[in-house]
Amino acid sequence: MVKEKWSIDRILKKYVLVILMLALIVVMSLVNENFLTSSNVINVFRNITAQGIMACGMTMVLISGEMDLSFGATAGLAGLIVSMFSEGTKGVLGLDVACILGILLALLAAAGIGAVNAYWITKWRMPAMIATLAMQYVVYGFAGFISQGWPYYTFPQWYSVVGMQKVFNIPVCVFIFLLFAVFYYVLLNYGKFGRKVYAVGGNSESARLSGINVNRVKYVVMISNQMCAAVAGIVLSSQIMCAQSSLGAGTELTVVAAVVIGGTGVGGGKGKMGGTIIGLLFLGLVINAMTLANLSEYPQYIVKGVLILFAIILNVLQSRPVRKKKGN
Amino acid sequence: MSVLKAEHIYKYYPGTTALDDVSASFESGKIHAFVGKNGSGKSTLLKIFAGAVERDGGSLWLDEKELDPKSPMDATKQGIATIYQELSMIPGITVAENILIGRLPQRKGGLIDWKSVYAEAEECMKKLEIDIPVRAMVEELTVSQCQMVEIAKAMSQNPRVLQLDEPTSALSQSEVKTLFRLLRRLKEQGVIIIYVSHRLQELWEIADTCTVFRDGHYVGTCDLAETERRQILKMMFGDVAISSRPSLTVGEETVLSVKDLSSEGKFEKVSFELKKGEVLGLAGMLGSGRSELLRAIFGADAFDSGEIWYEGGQIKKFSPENSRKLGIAMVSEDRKSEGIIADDSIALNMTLASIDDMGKGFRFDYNKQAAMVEEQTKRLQIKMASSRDAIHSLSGGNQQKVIVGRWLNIDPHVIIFDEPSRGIDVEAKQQIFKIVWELSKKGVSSIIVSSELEELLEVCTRILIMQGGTLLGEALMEGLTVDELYLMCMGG
Repeated sequence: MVKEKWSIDRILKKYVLVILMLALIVVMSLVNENFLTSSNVINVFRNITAQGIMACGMTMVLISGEMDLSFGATAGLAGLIVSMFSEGTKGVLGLDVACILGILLALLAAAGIGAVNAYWITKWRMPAMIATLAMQYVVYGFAGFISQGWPYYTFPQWYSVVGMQKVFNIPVCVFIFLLFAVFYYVLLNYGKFGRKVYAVGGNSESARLSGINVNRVKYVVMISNQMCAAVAGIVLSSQIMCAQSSLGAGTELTVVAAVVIGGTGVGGGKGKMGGTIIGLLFLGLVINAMTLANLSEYPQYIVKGVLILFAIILNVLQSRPVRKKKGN
Repeated sequence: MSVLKAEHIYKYYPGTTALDDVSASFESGKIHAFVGKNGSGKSTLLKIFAGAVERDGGSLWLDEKELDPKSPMDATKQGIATIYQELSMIPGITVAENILIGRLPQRKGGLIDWKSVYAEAEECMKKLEIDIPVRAMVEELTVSQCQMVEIAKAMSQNPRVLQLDEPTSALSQSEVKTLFRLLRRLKEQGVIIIYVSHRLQELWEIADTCTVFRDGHYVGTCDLAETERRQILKMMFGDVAISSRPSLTVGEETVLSVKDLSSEGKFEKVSFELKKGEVLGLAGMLGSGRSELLRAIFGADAFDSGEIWYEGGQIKKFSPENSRKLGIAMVSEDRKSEGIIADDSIALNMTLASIDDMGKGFRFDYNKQAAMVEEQTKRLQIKMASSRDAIHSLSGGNQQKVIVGRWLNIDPHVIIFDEPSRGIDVEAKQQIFKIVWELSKKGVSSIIVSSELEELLEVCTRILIMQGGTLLGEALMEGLTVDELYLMCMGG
């Protein structure tokens, strides 16, 4: 009898998020007639793609026991690099080639930022939160400086494919997001590197003394996170055909929220890619519901904050070990 | 005259009896030493007096009044002050503040009366004739000075009993003399002093009586003026018989050669050779530099100078990653913080050093992992429910076996064990030793660091002695008894 009781309790805890999400969908579809329309559903997905791509990289960052607050800045910078490089070299290379090179340059720059982040964390042992927070300022500042704050619109026509074009009525960017999600899922669950990431996040000293190159793991994690941010930045700029340094601003909280709500602890060593996807969907739905309800920006912040708090409490409760009763 | 008494004290921990019907009494005006090997119970009794550990049976008495310290602060209120090896000075505040912490004199209105703080602290130091400025910051003091302040802090509450746990392990000769002067002064003031130490050579210098513990039992108390070292050792270890180990043949080939290895502050000019199939023991007391030496050899910590040769070639890159690739393994001292990844599965913990070998390319082959896990589980007789459970669900002994299994998975040529039997039960210990002998027969060499000297005598084929960072030499194992080995480690 006792075993059965424990099972139901356990299932509830594990799938509480999915249950809440389904409940929300049911409620919203009853309350608001626009909710279940194809255009709204597509909108929800479209809005979470950019943040979803960033969440993939961030999931791995958090599992490895680190933090990264600079990715939002990099997203904005990425779009800017593409557009500004196109603007500057379109005469010589032609807009198409310039854009492609610009994209490569943006990815390279992102990798560089990731490497610098990893450098502070490994060589100087800076707490990741502080180091990446500082880098956030550096990158935003740099992006603002090179663009003087102005938006840039120099893109070839085909650039909009990513953000706006649809295949089978589903935006291309959603496919890109799914690609990233699948890739990270496979990497974290079936890849040797994924095992190392969990180990480093669980106890980096034990991992190090077992012969794992902890520094290399951290470099790869931080660099790939920034590259995800760059891709997200390209998606964002593609969605509105405009690049600006502030394009990724504010995404940091939402992305980390989605990852934490999905069950990845901030302490490291724990978390799942699957959880992040559910977290993203859940958060996306909640935000969509709030938007449809005409809630302004500020109440939305409150809701987001409360959700993160609840998610962490849930996290803590789920990981409590079974207490031995006195007298055993 | 005051008397501190312990009557029929019992203390149990899971799997072991720390104190078994221990009764003893201690008079004021004397320094009473507690001696016994690791796990003998000497520290446990001290902690029970100190209110840090709760007794499971028996009673404590101070001057015919029963004591029941429920916490360290409670114990202090009841007249027992304790100073531990890890000093509890609070950095960032002055000496005076540390002495009066928690009871800073206040002015009307609840504000701190700093003038009184410094005056009271000053007086306390004067009484004890300690010459340390009360306005000094704790960070500016040496370890010995911190200890003086800690004693002043304890004495400022006028305790009738002062306990010291391994007070001299971090002190230089002259600092020890200063401490002893102070302790003698306190003795004259009528304080009952309890002095736990493993440094036998000091006892005759500072203590009046010596209470010996062995395996949780009270063996006896003797007057040091009338007792010889040999007698104390016999009380500590009992009639020692040399355990027999299977006949192991050590190869001719030198597998590892360490030349003049030095690391400032840790060890100096250490040189030795390890032969194929050898089980080399490193004996020495806490602070002798053994763990530091092994960590340097494994590449976990950097060292300053010297060479390390392995299987004919010199090691140029020093990192755990490189050691693993070469086939050198190390089971660390602190399992909890450096060995296991507590929340991860037993399976991952057991294959942590072989992740790259789990399948081809980027894919992690879970089947191969399961096979490796099964192999080691059988070999080491690890008791678990499922290999997917988190490792923290296992007992200490089984956890240690998982880590040993982790390293066996890489087919090492050399395995280093740093305090392998710490916190594990006797059965698990024996199983690990059997594996060491098995490996030796297969040509795998082991280096074992242990503070349990009987262990080393039981398992090893050769024992080196380290003290104060230098390799004193080799102990001839033929007919060597544990008390003789103990003396060699003490440098006597």
